[in-house]
Amino acid sequence: MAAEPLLPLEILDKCIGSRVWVLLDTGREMVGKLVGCDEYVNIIMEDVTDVDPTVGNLHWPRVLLSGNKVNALIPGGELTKYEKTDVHMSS
Amino acid sequence: MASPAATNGANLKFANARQSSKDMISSFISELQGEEVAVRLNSGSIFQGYCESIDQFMHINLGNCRQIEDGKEVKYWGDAFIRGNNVSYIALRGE
Repeated sequence: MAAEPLLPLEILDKCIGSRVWVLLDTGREMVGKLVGCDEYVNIIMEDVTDVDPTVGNLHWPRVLLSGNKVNALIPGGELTKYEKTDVHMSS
Repeated sequence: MASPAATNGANLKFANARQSSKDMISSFISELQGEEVAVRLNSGSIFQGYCESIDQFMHINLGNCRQIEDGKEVKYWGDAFIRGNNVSYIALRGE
């Protein structure tokens, strides 16, 4: 008996609670723990790193990411040492 | 082949999971109201300020708003409205 195929959004639901790598249309990338998402692939993430090799990474405790520009979402995202260049923003 | 009843059960469970995830997005949006936030636009610039109001399209009213480019403040705007289609993400600042 063939297993029931997983729907795309079902796979997304299975990633909730684990760390993911998100690629955006604009060429930027974000890494963080997936907390929730909806049918538009709007995403809530925790402990997020906005990877920016030219200016430096940004860190946020909690982020609501618009699904509009999401290209791909890869489970199990971890930063390598090459992406660990931080910036401290003046606020 | 799974029986129709079993398939419906699986679909229902999936639908319920989707609903709770959707609720999470809307509750987070209401949670943002009155907090210090940073809004990143698709252009790459960041607008930091006090979130006066926000809706499901991610249109945002910011108070005490400053624009940040490449980690440096370039302009103080005061009150600002950001149209939702330009928003890449909205981050809560601090804990």
